[in-house]
Amino acid sequence: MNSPELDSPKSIPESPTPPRSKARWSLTQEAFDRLLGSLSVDRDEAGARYEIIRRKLVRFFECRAVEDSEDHADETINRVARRIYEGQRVDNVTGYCYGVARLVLMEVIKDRERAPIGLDEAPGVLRQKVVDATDSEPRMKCFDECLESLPPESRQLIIDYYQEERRAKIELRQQLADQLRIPVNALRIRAHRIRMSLERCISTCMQAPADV
Amino acid sequence: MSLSHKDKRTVAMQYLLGSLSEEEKTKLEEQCFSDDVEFEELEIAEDELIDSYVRDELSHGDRKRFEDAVRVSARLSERVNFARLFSERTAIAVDRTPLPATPSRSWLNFIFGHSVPGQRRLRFAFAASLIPLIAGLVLTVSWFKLRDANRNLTAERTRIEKEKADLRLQLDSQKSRMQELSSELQTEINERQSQEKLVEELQAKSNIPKGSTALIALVAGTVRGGSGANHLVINKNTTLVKLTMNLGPVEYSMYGVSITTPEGNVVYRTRKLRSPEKSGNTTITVQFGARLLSAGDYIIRVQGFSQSGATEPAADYSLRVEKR
Repeated sequence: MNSPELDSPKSIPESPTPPRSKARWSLTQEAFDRLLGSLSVDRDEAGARYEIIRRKLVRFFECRAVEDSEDHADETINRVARRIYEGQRVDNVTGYCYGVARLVLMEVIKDRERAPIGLDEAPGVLRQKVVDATDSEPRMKCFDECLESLPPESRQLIIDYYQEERRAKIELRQQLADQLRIPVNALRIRAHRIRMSLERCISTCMQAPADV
Repeated sequence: MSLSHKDKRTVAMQYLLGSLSEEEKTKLEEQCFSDDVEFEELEIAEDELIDSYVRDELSHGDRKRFEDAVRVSARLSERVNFARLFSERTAIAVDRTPLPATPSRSWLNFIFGHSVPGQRRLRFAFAASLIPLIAGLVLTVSWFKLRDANRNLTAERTRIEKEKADLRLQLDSQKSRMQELSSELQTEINERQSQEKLVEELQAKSNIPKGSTALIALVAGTVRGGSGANHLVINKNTTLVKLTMNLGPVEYSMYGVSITTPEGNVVYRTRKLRSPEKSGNTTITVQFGARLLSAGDYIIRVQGFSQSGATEPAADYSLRVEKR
């Protein structure tokens, strides 16, 4: 992610006045703060909204079969931040991001059409990024630690939710929802949120130094 | 009309697999960008798609499409690894087959071990006499194994036949249940239509006074098409709309209700509602000015607030408003 940290502007150059030059624009802490400000007056809520927008953008580019979707999502956010920084009033930032993302996508497609195709990038010989890392020791260790760090009821819920297969799975989930006195769809959302936090925890743990 | 959760999930999965038309893609993207709930549905569909892939439950075509998507996304690849690990770590442990016992070395030593010259002929004779014995033993063991395998195969075939018969029975009973349900549904639709007709007739007969309230008890679940949908008629004189929603056996500390157009525009929103029912059957009611609703379709979302403050969907309804 090339966006600045929400609270520490260490890597961001200071930019006192809105720039309007032809040089490549880069996201400054001030521009990022303004972007967050346009999302919410509450900093934490703005940060959460920012994360959701970024996730939406990454999905958008991925589902359009574009490589480096995270880079394109960041590029989209940078452009939106720039517009806001330069004084453009944007009422619906998420919708605006979607519009800009479509433009970025068109540019990517045009570039792809113009660029010559290398032998190793030709269709059918797509770059293999899948790495089967399930047997790696640090990952398993992180998984166990993160699962252990969940509140007991969340841990039990996520384990129970993913037990069984096919029909038995559906019946088990209905039983779980009945026990918790919530609709099955609310159970799905609850399990999804726990899973997301677990995945985030593992990702953070994997990026930590080797003492894990 | 909006789709049910299951339909939404199917569409979301098709989107993630790249099987939607351009128009459908754009529609879903617009929904996801304008509504976080829709986007969360997409994320859940992705969870389920990944799990189906890891559990080998996808069709050949979907599997290939999914693998193509994973190839261009490090994030998806990482999620697949997580799902594999998750599946392995939480699966019920399979019994390990015990290792075969190591044969005692003493008698092997007697035959093949180091020997002094005087013992060599005796050992050779002993070893030679063992050969037919061992061969006979091997043949006997093989025969027993074959017999057992044959028995197992027969048992397996019987079991499969029985399962087939059970499945056929289940299928038949499901078919008859489906028929029952569809006839029940048709009866309900007929009843509903006759009730609506009766209401219309009564409204027409009794000159409705100024400032009347339009009431409707919403039927749970969002559906496609008009026949089973909640239909509210707002008369010229109607000033208030009262919606009652029976959520069934759900239990949250508080509830919120939002009414949106299919395009995502919020026309009414309220929070901090409590159910008056304490017997386990949750019912909530909202009342607002009739002028908020124009003729058209609406999506009504009820959200539950858990003890931790997190919001979860408690129920969805669709509503068709007709103005007269």
